Amino acid sequence: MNKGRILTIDDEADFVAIIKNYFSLRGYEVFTAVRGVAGLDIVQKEKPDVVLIDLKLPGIDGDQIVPQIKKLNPKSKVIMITAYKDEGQTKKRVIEAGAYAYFEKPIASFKELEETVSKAIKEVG
Amino acid sequence: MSFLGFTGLINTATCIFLGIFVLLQNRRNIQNISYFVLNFFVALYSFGYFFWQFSSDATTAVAWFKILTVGIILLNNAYLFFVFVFVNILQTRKKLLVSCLFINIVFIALNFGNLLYTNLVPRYNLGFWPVPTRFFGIYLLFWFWQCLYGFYWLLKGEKAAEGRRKQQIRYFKVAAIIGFLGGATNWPMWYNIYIPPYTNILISFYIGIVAYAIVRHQLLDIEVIIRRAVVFAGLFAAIYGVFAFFTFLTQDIFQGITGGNRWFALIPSIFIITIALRPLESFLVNVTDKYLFQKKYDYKELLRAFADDVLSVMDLKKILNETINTLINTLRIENCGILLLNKDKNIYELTASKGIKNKNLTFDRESLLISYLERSKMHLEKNKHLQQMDDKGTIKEDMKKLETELVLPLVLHDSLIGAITLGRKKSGEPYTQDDLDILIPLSRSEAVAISNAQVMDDLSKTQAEAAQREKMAVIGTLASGINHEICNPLGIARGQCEVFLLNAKDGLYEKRSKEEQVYEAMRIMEKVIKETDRATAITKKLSSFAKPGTGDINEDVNIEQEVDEVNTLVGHELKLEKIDFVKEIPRNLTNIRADRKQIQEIFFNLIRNAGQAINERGRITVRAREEDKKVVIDIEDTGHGISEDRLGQIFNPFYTTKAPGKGTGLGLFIVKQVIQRNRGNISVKSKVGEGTTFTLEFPQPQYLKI
Repeated sequence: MNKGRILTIDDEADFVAIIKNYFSLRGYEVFTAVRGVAGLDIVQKEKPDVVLIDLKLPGIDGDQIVPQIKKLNPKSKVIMITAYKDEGQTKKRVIEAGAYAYFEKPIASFKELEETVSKAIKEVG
Repeated sequence: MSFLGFTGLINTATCIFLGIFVLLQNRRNIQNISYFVLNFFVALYSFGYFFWQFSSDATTAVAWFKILTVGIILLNNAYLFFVFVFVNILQTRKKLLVSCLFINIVFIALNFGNLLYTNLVPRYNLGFWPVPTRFFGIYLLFWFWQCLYGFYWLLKGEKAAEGRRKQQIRYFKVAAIIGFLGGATNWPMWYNIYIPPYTNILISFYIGIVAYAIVRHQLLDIEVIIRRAVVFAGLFAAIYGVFAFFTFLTQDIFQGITGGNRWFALIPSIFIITIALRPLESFLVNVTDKYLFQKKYDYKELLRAFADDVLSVMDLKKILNETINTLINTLRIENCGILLLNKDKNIYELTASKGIKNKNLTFDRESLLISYLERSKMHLEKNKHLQQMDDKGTIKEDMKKLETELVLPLVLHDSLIGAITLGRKKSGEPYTQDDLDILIPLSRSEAVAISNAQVMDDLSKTQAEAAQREKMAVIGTLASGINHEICNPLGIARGQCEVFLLNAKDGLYEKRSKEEQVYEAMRIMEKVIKETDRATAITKKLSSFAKPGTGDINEDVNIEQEVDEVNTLVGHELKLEKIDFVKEIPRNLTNIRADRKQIQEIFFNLIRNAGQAINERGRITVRAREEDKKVVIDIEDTGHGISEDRLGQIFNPFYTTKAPGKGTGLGLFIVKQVIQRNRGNISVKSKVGEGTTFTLEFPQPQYLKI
């Protein structure tokens, strides 16, 4: 049973491991990367349906990465995850940049995250 | 009668006397011991010299000459020993000293084996003199080498020393030159060159100079208190001795003239003494006062020391200590203290003192001593004023507690800010009007200096408070970074737990064995513990950083460690701005002496400023090195740089280039103050578009005067 292909990019290896633990047990295929550049390689090679990405990655800016991912794989849905709380301004900005959804760290509800991911995968088709 | 022989006898007596005197001062001190050893061999030489000169035949002369040669050989070794101890290099020169001793013992053996000289022959009616061998030539070279080598270290020691020590080494140096020159005039006679070695008596001058330096400059740390009467009597006797000698010499002449009655010869002497008595006395008073007791002449020194060392200083503690030291050293008094008004408690405290047993004395305003000073604003002399007072009981007791004979009020704007208490003079003499004429105006300047320093002291407390406030404000601006550093580990801990629970609830672990489930749970708990520890560590660091410094600027501070501390606080922020943080600090860099917290504050401010100067992408390099007695630290950024016209203002208070609301402008001003308080210095170089480098310099601890 393969519910879909997910790539998670975050410089916190532990966070990546949690996402993998959650989604892989539930039948998703999960790719991981702790660096933006490595993540982009995976986007190109594996063409994941959903990319879960930290807004502030060292080396690459989250705002700019959305168009880059879209360029490499126009079908990928990008979900931003970040620890920064700034009253919705960032959220607005990343959605405008083309992100599918926006989540704050720590993840308040994994169920909600899974629902968003599965909804995105359905849209990818 | 041989004059040369007598020089030997006089030298023996003076050497032995001074050597034993010095040894008795402190029998365990190696300096005193080495000085005694030196004098012992000089005495041995001189003793042999005396008997050799009085020998009537060659056989006796040879026997005494061998003894005096042992003295010559070993006195040089002892001289090196003393010099090494004196300039404090004995530890590193022990082997050299022992090697010299070994060589000298070989020469002693040659001496007894008749290999240094063959026999003694009468020369120029000055007794028996040796005929040197080739070995003797070698010895002579070695003898001179030892003299010069010791002299070289005296010069070096004199250059490195300061204050009294420099003076002491200088005196010994001069004494040694005179002594050796005197002794060396004996050598030409060996080679049949007629230079009569009458200057052998100069060895006594060496003793004389050392003795003088002991009395006047505490040479060998010996403090001699000689009563004026003793010195006076001694000098008087010496001068009268000359007159007696004169009488003795002229006796023969007068005997001829007056036809047999030698008592007539005393008449001119008595006449001269009677006429010369008064002028001689006043001459002696002047000479002894000038050179042995410090009276008016040294007041120049006192005033100079005050102007240079005391009044120009802004640090209260330093002023008080310098004042006390200067007064004790120039007035030669047993103790000295300074009482200052503590405005908060409204009492006068003995804030600084030297030689006073009870160092924590306090006096309230109502105490008779203070109220007397407050009312009269006049000095108070134990031997003079107390007798005239009705109620002298408690004042006397207060003065006894302070062990003082003279109290000088410190008055500023008609109010008593404190008092200087002066102890007994070491000579036992009372304070004179001359003393008061100098000390009273001096105490007025002192009051001004103290008051200025107190203002500065208050100001620096205010500055420290401003620095602390600023730090707290800066910590506030760090919130987002810190939030990340704390929330991330906590978020991960929470995520681990939540995912485990969700997996379990959703039955995803059902296929796994019990052992596997327990193992998974353990793995997650270990992670949770690790992450919560991480969050705790950061909060601990933050709260430690927020605490003010201890105020102790002599803490041992490792530069790299403090840079790392700061990096844990600002590192994340820099990483997000894509700023590389590079540390080029040598492993073996000397630790500096400073207030550790304040050094952290300095690095924190400068590194954070550097980060803010970089708009996007860049590098901050912290580079450290040792250079010219200092530890030098560069904090270099590749930011926008500062234009030349602004560079001069950046250390001014309230100067800022940051947007309104982002900076108070106190940053670099406070940084500079804090650095200076820690005996450091800051300078800046910058080029617009290329970056800025702040350079900090702190003295290496071994060059600090603590």
